Amino acid sequence: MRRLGSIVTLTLAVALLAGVVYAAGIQWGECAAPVGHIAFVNGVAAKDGAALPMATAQLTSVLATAHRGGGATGDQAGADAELSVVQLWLWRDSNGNGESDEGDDAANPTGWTLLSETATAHGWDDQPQGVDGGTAGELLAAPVAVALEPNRRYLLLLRVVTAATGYTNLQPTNGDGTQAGPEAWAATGAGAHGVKGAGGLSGISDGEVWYFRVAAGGEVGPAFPTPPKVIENR
Amino acid sequence: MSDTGKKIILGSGVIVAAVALGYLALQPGEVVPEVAPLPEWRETRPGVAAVPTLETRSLTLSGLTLGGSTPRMNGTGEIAPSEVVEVRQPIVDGVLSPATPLTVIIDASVSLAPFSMRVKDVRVFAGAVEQAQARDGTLQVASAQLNAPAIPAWLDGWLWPTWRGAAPVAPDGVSPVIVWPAAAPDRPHLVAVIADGATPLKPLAEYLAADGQAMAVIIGWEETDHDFRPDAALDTARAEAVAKVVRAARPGLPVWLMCSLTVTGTPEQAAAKVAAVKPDAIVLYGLFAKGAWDSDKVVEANLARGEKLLPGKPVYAAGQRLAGDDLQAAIDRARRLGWKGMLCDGSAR
Repeated sequence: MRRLGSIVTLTLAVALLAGVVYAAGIQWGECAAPVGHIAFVNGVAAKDGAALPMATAQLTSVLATAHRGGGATGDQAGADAELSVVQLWLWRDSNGNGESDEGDDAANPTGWTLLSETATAHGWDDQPQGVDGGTAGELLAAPVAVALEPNRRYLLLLRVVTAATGYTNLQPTNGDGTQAGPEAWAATGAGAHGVKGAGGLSGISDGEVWYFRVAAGGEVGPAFPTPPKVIENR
Repeated sequence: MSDTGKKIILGSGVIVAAVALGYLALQPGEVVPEVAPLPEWRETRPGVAAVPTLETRSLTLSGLTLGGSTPRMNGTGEIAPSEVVEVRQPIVDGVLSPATPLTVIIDASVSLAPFSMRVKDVRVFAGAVEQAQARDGTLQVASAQLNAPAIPAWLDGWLWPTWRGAAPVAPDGVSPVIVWPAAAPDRPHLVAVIADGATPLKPLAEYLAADGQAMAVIIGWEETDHDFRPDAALDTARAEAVAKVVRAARPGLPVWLMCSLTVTGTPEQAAAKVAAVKPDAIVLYGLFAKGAWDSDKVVEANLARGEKLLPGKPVYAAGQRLAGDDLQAAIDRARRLGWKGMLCDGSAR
């Protein structure tokens, strides 16, 4: 049994190392897109369907990674130089179907609402590759007041724009980190529709968008971590 | 989860499964064979005989034996090389013997085949010399005083990357960028210069002296094919040489300097290049996608990068891969915020 344990431990270590080396083979180049994902919002893990407390009127904390490596210098300044801007966008899912669509347009008269912008690369790691493995950092420079209503559903979108190219994390990629087409998402118009909790539009993947709700009146605490079936989005 | 994370998990899973299957293949009760202990280590060393000391002796050529015919001599009394077919060394029993004469056998039937050599690339080093001369002002080049077409207040430029193949004719209503030495069209255009360390510069001067429709020359147009290329990094000396040749060939013709935002080296390198070239405008290559143009904040920040490189001079953008409404929106915003023009990638339109 001890021998089995040793083999399993060694295998796991080798497998992890092999995976990292394989991923590290992805080189950033002129065509590379940035990466990022939302980790926590107001202390709640960004798992689709999770609920924020009913009284939530502000987003006070968004932990996320938003980076394109450490840049030429491999430090925070280099990572910042790689990025143009990092944005947080909100969509009111008024019909509660877990997707931005025409049925929500009345609640979003100007399309997606820009909540926050920053030029800081949060959660960057010191590898020049597209490994989204940085420790999430605080994305909000200051709390953002936003009109959130109890028992309503919302989508929160993270958009990372690179400095030199204008490529974003919402573009489809070739699997090696290089961009494979223009961004399908747009703040307004037809491109604003089709975003789901786990992605939806081409180029948007799970983690870059978070589907959440605000707890209903009388609900005892947030429904995290098991959301009601009605808002499951798989 | 990101694609990279999925790859890591997938790769790890495959390896874990392979090792687990290997372990399960062991039959219950199977005993691992014991390995006999290694014998005690013993060390032996071969004996090496002493190396004899070499002694230097003089060798005297005491005679010359001819193998048949009389060898022909050249004007200086030497035997023609074609006559010599064998040289027997004065070695007796494997030892060099000064007492044994060197034997040279001559045969008049031996001949040598004719030999020739052709240099394929005559550019080698020629350009480097010209560039050095251009920098110190001693290179004589063709020159012409021509009135260049005016540059529009907003430059709607159009380029075609050379690595995409032959460029089609640029559409009407745009100012095409012609990459020297491609044929210059009979309409106002920009001339882009790609040069490495061996590019001769006299032909460039001749080209410009005959090109009356050039509005400006963009130097540093070293392109990349979506990957890093050392030639695309900044080279101050080369850029300085090209700029001096352009100004000598066409006094008064604006010289613009391209700086790639994607492969551009350090800010210090860029500043050194600007100082050496003293360009009339800066062209920032990059900012390809809509994300670089859909926010005032981003567009202003990138303009500031160009203005910081070359204060008080026009800043242009090059390489935009936009079309339709996205392109028009980018133009409107760029123009409103102070950019002077956009040289779009025609292959994306």
